Amino acid sequence: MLFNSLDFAVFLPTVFILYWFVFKNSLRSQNFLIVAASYLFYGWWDWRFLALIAFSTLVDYIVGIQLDKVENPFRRKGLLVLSLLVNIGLLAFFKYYNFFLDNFITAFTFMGMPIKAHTLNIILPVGISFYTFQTMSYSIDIYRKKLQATKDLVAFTAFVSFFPQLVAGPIERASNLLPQFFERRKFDYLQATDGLRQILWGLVKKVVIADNCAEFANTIFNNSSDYGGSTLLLGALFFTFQIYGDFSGYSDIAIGTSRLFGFNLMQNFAYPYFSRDMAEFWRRWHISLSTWFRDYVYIPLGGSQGSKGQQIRNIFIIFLISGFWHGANWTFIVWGALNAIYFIPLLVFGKNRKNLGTVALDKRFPSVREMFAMLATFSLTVFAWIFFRAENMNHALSYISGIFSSKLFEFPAFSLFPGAITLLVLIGGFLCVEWKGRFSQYAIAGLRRIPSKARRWAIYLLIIFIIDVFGNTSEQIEFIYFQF
Amino acid sequence: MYSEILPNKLNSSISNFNDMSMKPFLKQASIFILLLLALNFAMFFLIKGFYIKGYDEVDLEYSEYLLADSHGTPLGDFTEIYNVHNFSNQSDSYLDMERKLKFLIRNTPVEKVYISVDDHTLSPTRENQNNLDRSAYYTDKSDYSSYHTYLYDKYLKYYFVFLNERYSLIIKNFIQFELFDFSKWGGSRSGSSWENLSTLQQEEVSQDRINNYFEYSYPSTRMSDSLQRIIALCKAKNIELVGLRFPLSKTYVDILDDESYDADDVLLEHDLPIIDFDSLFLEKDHMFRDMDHLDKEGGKIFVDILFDRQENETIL
Repeated sequence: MLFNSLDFAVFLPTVFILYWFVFKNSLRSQNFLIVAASYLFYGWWDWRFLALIAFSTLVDYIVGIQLDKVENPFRRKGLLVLSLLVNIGLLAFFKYYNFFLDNFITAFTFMGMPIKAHTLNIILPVGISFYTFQTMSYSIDIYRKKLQATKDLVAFTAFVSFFPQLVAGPIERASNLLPQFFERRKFDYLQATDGLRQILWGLVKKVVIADNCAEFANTIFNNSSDYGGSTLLLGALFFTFQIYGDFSGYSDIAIGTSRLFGFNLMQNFAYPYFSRDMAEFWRRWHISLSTWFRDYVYIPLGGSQGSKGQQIRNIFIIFLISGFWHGANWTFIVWGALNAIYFIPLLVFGKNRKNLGTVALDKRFPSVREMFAMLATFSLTVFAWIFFRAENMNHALSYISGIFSSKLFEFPAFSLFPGAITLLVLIGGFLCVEWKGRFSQYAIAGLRRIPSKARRWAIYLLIIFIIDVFGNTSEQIEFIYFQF
Repeated sequence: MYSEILPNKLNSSISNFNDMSMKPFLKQASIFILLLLALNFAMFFLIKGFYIKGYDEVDLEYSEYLLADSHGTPLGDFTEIYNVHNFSNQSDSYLDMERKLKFLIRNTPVEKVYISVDDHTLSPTRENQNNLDRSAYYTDKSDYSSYHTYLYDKYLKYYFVFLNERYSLIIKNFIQFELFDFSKWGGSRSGSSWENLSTLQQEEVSQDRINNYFEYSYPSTRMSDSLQRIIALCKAKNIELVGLRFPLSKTYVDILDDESYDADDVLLEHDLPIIDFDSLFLEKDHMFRDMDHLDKEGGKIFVDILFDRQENETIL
């Protein structure tokens, strides 16, 4: 079920009413409702996927309890390995099986030893990378004795399958989300209205920015050989805003929806395109995944301890894994490697923690230096996204060589894309709102401080009008990150 | 030892509901929804003014009707001189015409129907560029397969702007191409007629239209099925059905060549008459608004020729 669908518009109020009116007196029944709603939400795509998530849940539930009971370090390690094997095994089979097989065939053929093997027609279950990472974090935290296992299967199932963040995150840590399933839930007016506001902004990002950008980005990327450099650059720019609007929009809707049910999820995006260097970008982009890798891969590898060489190795590993997490394609791996290359000079010169605060703190506009730094970081990001969006490496390379053709300085072919100028104006407006709201968790959070209700509501109505009129609702476009 | 301690027993019946917080929330949400409805209806009436316009108006005093797309609109009310009501509208597809015909049959004795069977009327493009959101006005429950679709199409989609993509698109296009098209500011809208265009311009515009309508090599199945149902309905109700091919400009005819989805053949297969006027004004560009649409003056002249010819029983 998509957030931007009529189905969800019926589903959400129904669950909300049941949750706060019918099941209001029992925490367990509220959790049970969350499980039922989440399984319905997930099964809406394909009910067969439910078996996988149920299996993953059950394995980690049992492993968690056993980890709590067992003191023998060897057996504890064995239990952890079991959890990791099951979750990574699911991922490996559904997401990477055909990729590895294809590459083995290519490698053996290249070495003059052609092998015969058939790829399988595997359907990738939506959101598998998200919930497997979430359950793995639970088992690892119990193994590290940072968390006590729960014996409440309903609460644990609700934690794994919590519908707002099930298919595209934020990837919650058990230590943050799971305890919330055991806390008394009191309806909070401010929390609920804040949630609705964040949902509204998430819809702007998804329907107005991402889905409109998708239309042009898809046309330009799918027919890249037909266009000159400036138009290809425009296509890369549209994709840059598409992926941000799409993914951070989903996160906003997920966080906002959770708030309606009394839950607080972690912030997943913190205005990454206003970053002054790549290290800052990665502290602001897909925060739940970056911190997951930091806590469960980077730090165990030694993190920033050890020699510079070891640190560089750790950074490379983390970015390559991050790239590979996004999909079974060399383009994602190159995208990861490219980001590592962007990051390493900062690490080598000790500048990776230079920009920890928000840009232009207490100022309306950035300084020239900050502006230049933001533009440079943004340009590097746009370049890297080309690999992320391209169908394969050849496509990425031909796209890039197309950009740096003689037509780079010609006016883009706007006449071929009616509405592209309007979209650029919308993106401009969107960036202004994001800039103004960069100190808040989401850009329009500050609207709650407007004392005049009439003015506040007029702004909400205007936003709804913009979503309706300028939103691309001709077809419900799936969120990009569902495929990861 | 543990940084997080999770309780394993739940208090199964705890009162966690805060009426003091929920009540104002529900109150505010209700008021906001009412405001949203008010905005919806304000937008609906705005759209009604320039999109629905006269689409929901029909004169049921007649027994003969003309059903066509934008080719029929320049004929305006001139048809009424010949006791034929022009029930055409821009972008009407056969699905819309079918709905209109059923509406007419339910509400008035219909004796004769003229229907457009031009080259493009069975095009898949026309299937997508239809008036189904507007022609829902003429439907009743029997036109739908389920009550849910009936309620959604006839009422929800028709009256609720936020559910109707076409309405949103119209407002968007208005803002995008009218309001912010600086060339149209200050009342200097260009009203160039077909004859004022150079041959090259005429060819370019004609080719664009042909590319648009003849993108596919096959006709639309939905349109073809709908046309068959129209024919069957007319037969069942003893309504005389006459196919009509509207005049085209010479440049357009030359480029069009033999391209056609052959809607006229469908009628001929049922031994129904066709009035073929596509070559009527080949050398009269001044009567055209564009490559295949007459202007108002052309429409007036065409009506006289069409019905005088009919009265003289010279059906082709």
